[in-house]
Amino acid sequence: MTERGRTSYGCPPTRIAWHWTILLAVPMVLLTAMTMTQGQPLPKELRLLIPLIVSFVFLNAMFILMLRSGRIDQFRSPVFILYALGLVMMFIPNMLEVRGTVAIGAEEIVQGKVPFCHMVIPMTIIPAAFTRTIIFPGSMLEGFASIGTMLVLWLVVSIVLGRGWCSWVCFYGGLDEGFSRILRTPLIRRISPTLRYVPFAVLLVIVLLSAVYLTPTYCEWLCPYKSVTEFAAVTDARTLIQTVIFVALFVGLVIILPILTGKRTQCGLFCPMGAFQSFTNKVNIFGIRIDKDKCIQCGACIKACPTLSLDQTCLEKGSPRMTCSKCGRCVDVCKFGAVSMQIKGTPPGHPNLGRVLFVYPAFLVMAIMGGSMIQQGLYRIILLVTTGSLVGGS
Amino acid sequence: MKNIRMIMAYSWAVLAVPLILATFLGMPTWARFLVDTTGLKVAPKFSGGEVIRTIEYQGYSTRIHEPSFDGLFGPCKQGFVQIDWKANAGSFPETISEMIDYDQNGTVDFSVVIQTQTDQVTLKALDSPVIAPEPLISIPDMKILRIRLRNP
Ligand code: SF4
Ligand code: SF4
Repeated sequence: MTERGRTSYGCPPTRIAWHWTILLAVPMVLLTAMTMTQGQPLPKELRLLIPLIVSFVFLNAMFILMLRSGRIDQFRSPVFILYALGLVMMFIPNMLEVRGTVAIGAEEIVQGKVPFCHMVIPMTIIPAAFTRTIIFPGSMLEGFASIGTMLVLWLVVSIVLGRGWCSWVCFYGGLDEGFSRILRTPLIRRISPTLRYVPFAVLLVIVLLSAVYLTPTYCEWLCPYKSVTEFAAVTDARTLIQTVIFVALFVGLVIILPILTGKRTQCGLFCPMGAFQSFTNKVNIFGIRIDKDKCIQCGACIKACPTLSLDQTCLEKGSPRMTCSKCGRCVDVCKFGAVSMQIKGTPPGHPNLGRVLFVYPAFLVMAIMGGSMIQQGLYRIILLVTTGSLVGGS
Repeated sequence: MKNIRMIMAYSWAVLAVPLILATFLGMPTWARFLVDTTGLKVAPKFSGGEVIRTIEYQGYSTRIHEPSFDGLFGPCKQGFVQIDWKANAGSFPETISEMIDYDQNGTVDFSVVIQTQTDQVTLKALDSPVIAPEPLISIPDMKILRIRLRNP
């Protein structure tokens, strides 16, 4: 099934022969065609047709290259980044069209019109257990991103991918990932390993505060992504302080620090949802395996890991820390074929089988969710170019 | 034993794709199933709580929600009751004036007057649990008022 690729030294990643690649890609092509068109005939309007075709071709090209090359992150990352940008491009104009502003007013809150976001999930668990209510101003079943829908999505993805959520599904993660890739050589190279525990501390604090006040504390005070989605209308000193915090955290954690460190600092050093999601890695079938016989301890994977999930101890132990988001970068950078995606409970020696079985469901979720975001983001850009405005159109 | 574990692991990995597909294809059904089986609801702090009484008037209706004193381990010392006024044909009369018995014990708890053009609210507490009104929320066809209460 595999053939040797060309690299300058050591073992290259194992490629998959073209005929196998095509055969494996066909179901993904059909599934993405089905989900992106939603079973409807192709739109006649060019402004809708072009984004659909471009995103369809882009997604499948990335998937085919991922299968063929033996690499994961190299072809995951562009999709993940565009997915996040697509969300921002789609969300803001959409909110402007629906409610005339991106600010959430008391009206939206009392009417349960705020889209539910996975970031809230850790904060809802204790209140849900004690009061059987969800502490969020959304709708259980109706409207865009209802609570029920997002909970089902999160449950299934957590079972299937664990913290793979953070490199394949989270619609925000691509933002700090994008900024972390701007500089080839990071300006800050040393990050204290102790900082890896900060997300767990943030998680503990916000979970407890949310339980005490029965309100999603992180969303109210700390979420950097409010800056690029929606936040409470600034009406008093409290909402002004909240907005300043959102913007400061976004600029610091999602833009500046990722550029300077080359790491996903929001995801690896702050996000409580990421910390929470790490626990789901424990019950998940897919994981990274480091073959101690092949590993020459060069440390390339440690340097490359965007979430600081690898260190010397991991190389000795043969697996990353529980915070691994299964981005696959360590698999790609290891020139000695020592790092692979594995299925827990299976013997080593079949790197491509583990990789294909993992990337299939992972890419499928990303394509279903990200495909529509990229498509809608592209549509907004075309709208901007053709009409001079991001809102309006069909 | 090792082989059984290996077969189970591969089977589980292979099942991941159908599981993802089934999730997306049947999303409304799964979401409803989850909500029905867990009985989860949006917290009254955000939804206003269940509507326990609707009173019809000429041109509008008044909806009284269940008073909420939600706390993590049981009722809190303070809470609120939410009252909604919904216009039937798009607009309200100039003044809404109403006596509210939110706990339905036969005694009026407070009287409320709303100037619908200016959204000015005058609330007169007639029973000791009533503390004060929160700012009126006005949306097309609807006025929403929360009144803070002491838990009797
Ligand atoms: S760490 Fe947080 S923001 Fe980052 S990908 Fe995970 S859930 Fe999303
Ligand atoms: S250990 Fe590897 S797969 Fe996991 S987050 Fe780090 S680079 Fe990505």
